[in-house]
Amino acid sequence: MSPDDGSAIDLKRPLVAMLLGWLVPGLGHLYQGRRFKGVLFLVVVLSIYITGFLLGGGRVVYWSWKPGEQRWAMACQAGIGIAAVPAAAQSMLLNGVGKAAAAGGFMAPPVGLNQPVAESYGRAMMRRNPGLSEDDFRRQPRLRLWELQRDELSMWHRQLGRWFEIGTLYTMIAGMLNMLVIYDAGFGPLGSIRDDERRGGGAGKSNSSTSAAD
Amino acid sequence: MESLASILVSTLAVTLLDRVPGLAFGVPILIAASFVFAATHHEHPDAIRGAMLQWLVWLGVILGVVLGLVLLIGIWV
Repeated sequence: MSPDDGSAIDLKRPLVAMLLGWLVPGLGHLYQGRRFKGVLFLVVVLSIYITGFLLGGGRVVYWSWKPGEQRWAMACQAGIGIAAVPAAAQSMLLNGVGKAAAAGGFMAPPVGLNQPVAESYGRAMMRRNPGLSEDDFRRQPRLRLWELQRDELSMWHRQLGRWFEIGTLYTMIAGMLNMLVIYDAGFGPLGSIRDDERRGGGAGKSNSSTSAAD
Repeated sequence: MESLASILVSTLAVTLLDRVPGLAFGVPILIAASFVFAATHHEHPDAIRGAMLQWLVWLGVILGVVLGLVLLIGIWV
């Protein structure tokens, strides 16, 4: 039920709306026909995410659960949905010995000290990090493996400075805000059911947003 | 009275922006959060716009107080 005029809100299929809302911010609302809110969420949440991503040089959204290099920010960033999915895929591609991430390392986790990667990926890393040269790798030509002798994450911090943190903060907040948006798509506006109605004493009980949806 | 308050608030804002580098980067986040908080509490555009301004003031005041305290402690210590 709308908290503004008490009219019922048709949430259609809330689970579908929540899934769509996770995939693309505001898409769940657009599916429900709540156009103003859908467009508002799409513009606001994605603007913050894209701004953060660009401020962080495109390196702040990555998935890493290696011991000592856990990327906890991803737990919040994942709330943005499809825009964070490549990070999970890249993490899986790069997991193991002599592996290579796709698309030149877009959203790939940083390569750790002495981590063996495929030769082709070593070259891609050099294109991605201007300060990196072939001398920074220990090469194993027979296995076509390159081992980075530096920590790529430290290089990113040195290159980006505070922009890395600001970009991380923006993308994390965008993900967390989208979690509120997902809730709104699934259950209607927060506080839309008054306490007396929630207890079952109110007249508007049958018009609650969730019942309208089903 | 209102003009005096607005002068005080703008003076404080300018001082904070001057003293804390990078504070301006918090403003878009504050505006975005206000929009999302307002839109997740209301359904109609006019109500959302009104609530957005209220949320903006609330968040600004709360975070401003926290920042002010941190600055005071920083000066003191």
